[in-house]
Amino acid sequence: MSHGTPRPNHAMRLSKGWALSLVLCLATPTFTPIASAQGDACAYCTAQTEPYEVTGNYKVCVEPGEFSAAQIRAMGAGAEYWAAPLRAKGHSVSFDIEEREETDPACNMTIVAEPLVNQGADAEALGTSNGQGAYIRVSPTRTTYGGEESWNELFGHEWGHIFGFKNVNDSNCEGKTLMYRATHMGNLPSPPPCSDTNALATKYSTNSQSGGGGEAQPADGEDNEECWDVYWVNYTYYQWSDGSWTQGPTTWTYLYTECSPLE
Amino acid sequence: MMFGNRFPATIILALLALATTGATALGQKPPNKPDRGIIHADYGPDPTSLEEMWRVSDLIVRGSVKTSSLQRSSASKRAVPTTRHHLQLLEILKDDTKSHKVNQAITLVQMAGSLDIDGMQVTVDPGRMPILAPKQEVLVFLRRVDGSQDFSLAYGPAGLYVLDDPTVTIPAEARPIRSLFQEKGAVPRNEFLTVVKQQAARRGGGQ
Repeated sequence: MSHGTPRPNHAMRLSKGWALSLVLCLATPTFTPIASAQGDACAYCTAQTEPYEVTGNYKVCVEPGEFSAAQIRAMGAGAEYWAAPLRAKGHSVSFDIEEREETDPACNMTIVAEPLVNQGADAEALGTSNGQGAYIRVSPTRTTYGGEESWNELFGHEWGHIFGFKNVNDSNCEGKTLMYRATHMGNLPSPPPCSDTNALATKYSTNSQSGGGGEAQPADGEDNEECWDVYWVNYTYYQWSDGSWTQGPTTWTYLYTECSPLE
Repeated sequence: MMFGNRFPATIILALLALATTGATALGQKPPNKPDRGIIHADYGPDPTSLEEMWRVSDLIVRGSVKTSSLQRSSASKRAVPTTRHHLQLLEILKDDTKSHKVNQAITLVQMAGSLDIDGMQVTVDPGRMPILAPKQEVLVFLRRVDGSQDFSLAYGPAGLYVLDDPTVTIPAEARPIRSLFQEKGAVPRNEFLTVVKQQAARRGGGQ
C-alpha cells in the first residue's frame, strides 16, 4: 500500500507474527523541528484516529428525493476512496448505497439532507465504533454550489470520519490528505496520497481500535506460507502553533508484507 | 510513547473493541448499533475575504457570555447536542436588522457537548474551536438561524475570537483576519480590537 514510503531515521523493525502482539516503541517521543516535520508531509499530514472502524457490508440509505444522481455517485466514490485500499489489503468492507427511508430497519448507515445552519455547520458525520448507526448530514445550502468533483471531495471527507479519522487542521496539509478540514484535492486520486494510505494502514492493519497501536498482524498470503506486515516506528511531531509547541500525530508507517514458508 | 504505558492501554482498548464490536470477523454483517458515537462538524470552505465575512455575517458583536447550557437541538430523531450561550452585547460592529442594542442579550448556538440522543451517547468533537463558557468575552461573526431569533457562528471557528487574555488567537481558518495582522496567529487584544473596529467603521458599522 505504501511501498514508496520513505524510510524514517532511527526506524525500528517489528518482529514477525501474531504472537508478537506486544509493541516495542521508542522510549521517548523524538523532537523534530517543524521544518523537518513538514518535509515528511506523509507522516505529518496523517489524520489522527477515533476508536472506531468499519468492517463488513453496510446498507447505506440515502434520503429519497434529496440528492441528484451525480451526488449519489459521489457518495459511492467517496466511500470507495477509503474502502478500495482496505479491500486490496484483504479487509472486507463494502457499501450498498440506495435511496431508502432512514427509518427502514435494513439501514445500517444513513445520508440525509438536513439544515445545519442552526449549528453553523455545512456538513457533519457521526461515527460509531462499528459503523452501525453512522450518518452523514449535508446542509441544503451546500447543495447550491460545487460540481461533482466538489461532491466527491465532500463525501470522501465525511466518509473519512466514519472510517475513523479526525480532521487535519494544518494548512500545510492542504491537498495532501482528504481529511484536511477544508479539503481542496480536486478529483479524488486513486490510489489515495500517502498520508491517507498511511492513516488506513495505521488504523486497519492493526488489531487495536485505538489507531496506531502498532501490533504486528498476519497479512493475507498463500496457504503454504506465513506472512506478516512490517512497520517502522515513526516520529511524534511537534509543531509551533499560536505561541506554543503542540504535539502532532504519532504514526506507524506500514512498509511491506513479508512472507516465509510455513515450517 | 513508553512501553510501560502502552501495553495496558493496548490490551484494554482491544478488550473494549471486542466488547463493542462483537468481534467482527471479515465478511460478517455488522453487529448491533453501539451506544456511543462522535460527530465531526465541518464548516465548509474558509472565508476568502474580509468583504465576504462582513457580507455573510448578519451580526458582528463583542459580547460577554452570561450563561451556557447543553441542550438537544430539537425534538426530532435528527437532533444533535448543542450548547446555547446567552451573550450580553457590549459593542455592535454590524447589525443587518438594526434591531439590537448594547446590553441586550442574544442566544448563540454552538455545536458542542455530549448528550444521550435516543439511547446513543453522542459527543461533538469541537476540533480546535473553543467551547464558550460563562464570563468569557468574545468577538463573534454571527448568522441568524432560519426562522429563529438565535444565532450561530458564521464560518464556525473562523467566526470566533476569545478576548479574555492579553493576546487574541486568530484561527488559521480566518485568513482574511490574519491578513490584517501580517499573517500572525496571535496579536495583542487592544491591537486586535482597534483594527477590527476600524474595519467596521470603514463599512459604516459600529455602535
